[in-house]
Amino acid sequence: MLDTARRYRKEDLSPESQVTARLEAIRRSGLNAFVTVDERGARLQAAGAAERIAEGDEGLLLGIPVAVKDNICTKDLRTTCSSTILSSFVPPYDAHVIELLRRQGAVIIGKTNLDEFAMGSTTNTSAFGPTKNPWDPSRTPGGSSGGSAAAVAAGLCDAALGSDTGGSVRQPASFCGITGLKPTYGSISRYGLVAFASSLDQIGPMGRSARDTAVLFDAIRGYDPRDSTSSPGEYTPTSLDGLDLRGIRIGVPGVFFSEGLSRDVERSVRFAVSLFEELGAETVPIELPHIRYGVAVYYIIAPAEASSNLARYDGVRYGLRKADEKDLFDMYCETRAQGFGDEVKRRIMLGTYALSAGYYDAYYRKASLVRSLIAEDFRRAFTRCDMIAGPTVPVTAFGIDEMVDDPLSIYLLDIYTIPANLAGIPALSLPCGFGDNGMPIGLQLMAPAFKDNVILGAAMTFQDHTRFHEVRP
Amino acid sequence: MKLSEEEVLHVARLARLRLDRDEVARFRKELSAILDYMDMLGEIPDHGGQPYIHVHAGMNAMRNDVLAPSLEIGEVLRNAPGVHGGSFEVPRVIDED
Repeated sequence: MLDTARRYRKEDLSPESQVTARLEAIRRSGLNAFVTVDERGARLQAAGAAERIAEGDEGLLLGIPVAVKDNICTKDLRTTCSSTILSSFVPPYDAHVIELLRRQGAVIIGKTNLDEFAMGSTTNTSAFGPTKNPWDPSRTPGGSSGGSAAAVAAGLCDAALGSDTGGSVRQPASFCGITGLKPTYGSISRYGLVAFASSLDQIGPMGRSARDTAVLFDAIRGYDPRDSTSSPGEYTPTSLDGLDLRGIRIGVPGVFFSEGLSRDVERSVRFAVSLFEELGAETVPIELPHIRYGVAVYYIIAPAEASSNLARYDGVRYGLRKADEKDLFDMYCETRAQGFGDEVKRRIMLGTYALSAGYYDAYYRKASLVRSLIAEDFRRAFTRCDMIAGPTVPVTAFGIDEMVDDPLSIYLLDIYTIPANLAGIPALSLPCGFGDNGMPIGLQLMAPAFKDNVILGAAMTFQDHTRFHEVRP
Repeated sequence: MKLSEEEVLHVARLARLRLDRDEVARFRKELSAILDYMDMLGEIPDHGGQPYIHVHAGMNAMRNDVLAPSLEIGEVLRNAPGVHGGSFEVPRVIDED
């Protein structure tokens, strides 16, 4: 993305030809990374950006083809959440982040595939079929922002937006060998992001490098009164100089290197930590005693919030309606039975149960208590270190048809990514090696709330000394 | 199994989901297994703690109460599966007798 912006200024590339090349790449890719491609709109936006560049506008996003996860509303451009129930929904307004991107002249090239309503880790639950991993099309790109990650890795766009509720930006970034940030909760407005689990959802930028990711992050964050969780704090631009690692304390939690972690992932992550040490950082062993409860807490809280958020899909105001039902109650039940896929139904059922009379205290309230303990674990750890390093996912990308029958075993793969969402802190994944099967491996960095710049800077410095992010599928 | 068939049907009714026979059996099995996993939370004592509220607890972002235009009715109704005049159309809610 930054390379593209530079080439626009040197006039050896124009936004129109860049957009044409990306559209051609999308057509040829065979990855099913996009649900909707906006060819006409993209060409119009590219022409507008070219004019602004000619007038001397220095904006880094001008004319840059950006792909957007299909759960972020785009005015007059279909937004499906990869669900049958919204397959013909055309939003009457832009999400806050889309308003910002348009204002800065980015080209919205299309909408990317996801697990239905962002519930999943493979894109397999999409009503439009799974996306393929550009490194090996028989494997999953991860999820739920799998379309965005595959599109960035395969060069179908210059950067992309995803959303991350329990790892949905970082896990596919790890599986596809790109950089993806789950920002601090509250730093990016969710106005126009289709709600899944409101106390956890964040929109996140994804790019080929940490610098691309940082530029996109700066472009979309900021206070927005239309999201009541939006933080009104100061927003200073992220430095692109990288972080001087001398004297930086990196916490290494033992619990992130215990059972279930595959050996090749561990090897690459330990290599990354030792490189940080060579660059002057100091490693500190830390304890996060309640992390082991993270998956249980998450799979109570997220489905509970989802069951409430998804109650709006009732066949009345938008989306699918099963029309031949005479009775309102039957119309609701039949519409939702036909409009939602298996995983969404499973989570709605789980969440409804966890909130139902007689079970609320045992599940939802209990999960909220333990969530506080997890947040407290991080608060305590960050008194002893500036950031935390570990693997993003215990494994590399697996086959598209593997693990389809056992929901719990897929949930357990979220073990390293869920804690940052539960605690509201920023976390990113960046490429740090390749597994025995040749698939990319992700390193996860986490920092205290609103210290997104620390992990972005550390990632930039890491990428100044490594080439993993430059290897192409 | 933790959940009975009746409980699955009760939850489905609360969630406004019609499930077929196969789904009831499958969800009963899968949800029971997931709830068994959740039992680990019982290891943690209940007393003394506070439920999690917000990552930035204590901060309350209030916006100013200013009038602003909202969406046009036509725009709002554009995605509706049933429209009558300027309203959403739904199946009959109240019986005739």
